[in-house]
Amino acid sequence: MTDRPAWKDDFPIAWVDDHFVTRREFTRSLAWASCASFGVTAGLGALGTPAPLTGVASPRRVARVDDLPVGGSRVFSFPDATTPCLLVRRDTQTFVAFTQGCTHLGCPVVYQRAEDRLECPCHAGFFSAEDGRVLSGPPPRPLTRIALERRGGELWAVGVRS
Amino acid sequence: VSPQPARRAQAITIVYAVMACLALVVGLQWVLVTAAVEAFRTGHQALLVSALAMSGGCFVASRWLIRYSSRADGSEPGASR
Repeated sequence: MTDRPAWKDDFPIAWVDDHFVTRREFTRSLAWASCASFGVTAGLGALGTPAPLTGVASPRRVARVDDLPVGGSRVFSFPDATTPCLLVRRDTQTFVAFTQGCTHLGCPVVYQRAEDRLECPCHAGFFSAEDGRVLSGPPPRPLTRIALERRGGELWAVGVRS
Repeated sequence: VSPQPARRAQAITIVYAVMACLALVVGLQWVLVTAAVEAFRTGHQALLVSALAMSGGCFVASRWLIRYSSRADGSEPGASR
């Protein structure tokens, strides 16, 4: 029979071998966290906010008129390959196009034919399909409108309206 | 209670208080990072600049707190734990 208590067999880690986090180590980790947080914020500040799309871009054919039914929509890229836009046919003669990224946090907006509006499903933001203005929800700015031109039976994106 | 342990206890209390403040500052910086990311994504330049300025202030404050804490902690031998 030994005097060794049973709990020492259940927890065989010696107190001296246990890993301590010293105050200095903890403080150092907080210092690194502070430095990293500032670094990320400074990096974002250095990048700056993306410049808004403006002006004229190289015209681009986006669809044939007959390919898009009334109430239908189609995604295309304009003025560059990384900027998705949404072309909407509101009625037989009315076509509109907007940048597809919601001005809140960049989720892609979709066209709701029944309400004739554009919806951001992420945070329930709604835009007018007429001119892209904010109807409700968190988006701070209207959608950027893409200028369209009809050339025969084709629709061309010809510029960006501010 | 002799004066020496009393001073030591006081120093440790100060160090822990400073560490708590430091943790709060770092927590605030984390919130500012999320605000900066949102400002970046939504194009809010003013918000981004404000978040950057505040984060810079927090960084300076954290540096000062760390220095203060090290000074208080190191005032006694064997005070690293």
